[in-house]
Amino acid sequence: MSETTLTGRAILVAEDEYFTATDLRQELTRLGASVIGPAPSLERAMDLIDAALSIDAAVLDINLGGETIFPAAERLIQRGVPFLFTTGYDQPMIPSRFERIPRCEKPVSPEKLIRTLASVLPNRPS
Amino acid sequence: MLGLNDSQVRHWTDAEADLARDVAERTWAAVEHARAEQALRESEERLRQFGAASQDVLWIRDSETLQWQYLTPAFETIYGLSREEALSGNNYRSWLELVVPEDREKATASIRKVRDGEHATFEYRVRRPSDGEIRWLRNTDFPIVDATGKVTMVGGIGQDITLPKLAGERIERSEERLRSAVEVGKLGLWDWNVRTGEIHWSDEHFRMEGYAVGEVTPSYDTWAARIHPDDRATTEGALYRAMERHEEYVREFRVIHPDHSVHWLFGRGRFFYDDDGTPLRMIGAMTDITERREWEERQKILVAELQHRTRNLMGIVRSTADRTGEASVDLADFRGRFADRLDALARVQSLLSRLSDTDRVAFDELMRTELSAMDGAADRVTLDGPNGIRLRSSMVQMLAMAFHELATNAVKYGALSQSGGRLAISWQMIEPDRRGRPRLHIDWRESGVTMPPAGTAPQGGGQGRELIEQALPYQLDAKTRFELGPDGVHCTITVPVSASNVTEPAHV
Repeated sequence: MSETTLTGRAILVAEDEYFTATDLRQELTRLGASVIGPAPSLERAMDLIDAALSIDAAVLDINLGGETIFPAAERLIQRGVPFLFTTGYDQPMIPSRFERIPRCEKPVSPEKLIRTLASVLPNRPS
Repeated sequence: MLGLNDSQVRHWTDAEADLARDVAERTWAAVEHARAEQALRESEERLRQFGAASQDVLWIRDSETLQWQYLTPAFETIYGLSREEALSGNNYRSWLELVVPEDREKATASIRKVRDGEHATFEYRVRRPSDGEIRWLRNTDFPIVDATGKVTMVGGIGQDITLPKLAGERIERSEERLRSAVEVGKLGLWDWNVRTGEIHWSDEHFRMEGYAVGEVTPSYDTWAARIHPDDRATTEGALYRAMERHEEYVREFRVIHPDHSVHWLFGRGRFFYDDDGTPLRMIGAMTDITERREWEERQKILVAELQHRTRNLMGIVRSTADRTGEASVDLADFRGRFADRLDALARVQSLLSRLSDTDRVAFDELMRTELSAMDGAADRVTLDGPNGIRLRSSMVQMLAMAFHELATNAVKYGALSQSGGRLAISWQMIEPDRRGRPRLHIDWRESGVTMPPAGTAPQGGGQGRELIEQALPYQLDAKTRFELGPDGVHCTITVPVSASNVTEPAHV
């Protein structure tokens, strides 16, 4: 992991807990990424995906205030955007089509999350 | 044939011939008599041997006196009394005394019937005088008539049926025990003749599957028809697997009753096979485990909720520590602020931990819990709003933290820090938002506070303001306003709450 991996990247964050979302935004910003969101709800996440010209990667909390993030995940797959899931203890079953998506179990340390995020990002064209 | 012979040839006179004929006839009669007596003796002897060999008691009574005239040795074995004793005195009366009192009436009525020319079969008990043991007898009594048709004697055959009777009673008792156990234990039994397809169900089996007892002819299909569609394939699969692998069938599955109610059943059964391994029969029992399953579900939800709250709480403690650290001037300052916030969190946890899975914390409880932690402020605070507005547990923590920050600032710098200060907190349900969610509107108004001159550094509550102005809108979809008025803080919060709050709660 290097800080430059995220520099200049547009990262969508969907997370319904304010403090977690804020911490993540601060950490990503510190590493030079620009944060889209954070979105506290599926509806907001969908709006952000549709409005954003370019998204390099996304961090998606599976359970947003009782709704699952899966429709947003589908849309990101359609757009070819890589992403990872964050999961709590009481997460719903993850559909088999998302089985290969990396998961970080909450509470997630920022280091672990950044490392996982870097691993899903495609290499920058040189 | 009788012949007479003489040494000399002679002529027989008529008188001589008559004499000879007479002698011949008498001799013949004597021979006949002797033969008949012999035959009678033989017949009686045969009868005696029959009687002696019989395990049943054979007897004959005089129909007038009812005294025994004939009684076979089996009597001694059954009654435990010698025949000499039995035959002495008025032996009808003494026999009747051997019969247990409850059966005497039946015994005398039967004898009466036979004296009137009918046959009688009846069962009765005797108490053996030798050991006091009870014996069951079945008597077949019949009239013996003379040539004129008059009943001169009463014959009888008494069979000892004690063993079969006791065996029958044992089976009856055992069946009764089983029946009671099945009923009390609410067991649904089945006995399936695999070859013919015939099945026997206990009453409870019908009820478990939502049938009235006897409503249908039990069959594989009537059983399978009630299974929940989602469980049918796996349950039938388990049954056939058990049959093929000669294993015990053990399965929990759901059934749907005609009233659409869903019930969990636990079935356990065993197949029986012939020598070639062909299944012949299956016997099993089911119990209704709906309550247990529901309890397990509730437990699962509670454990999950607890895990969730714990993790969530760790996250909150961590970010509270971070933020308190940023705002503190030194370690002592940090310690005071941090301990204060942890106490507030602990109060919320104790509110939440009282709840069962269906309960909700009410807004007024939350408010009173937070204010009760501030000693001596009660006379300067007014609360006005309905009781019982329910909050989702995910909301409780955020709201509690926000009000804790407001209250802390009020105690340190605001309405509760100055003698003239007043705090009025009011709340009410207002019209639903555009998505139809009921909303709670809260108004926190401090007054009588001497505010610091404009332009001086803002007082304390940076974290409070962030919670109210940022965190509540973000996490709870709340609309908030935080103002420093001329004589105190004015804060309003409008937040969507549980849909269960659609009916108007009672006012304070």
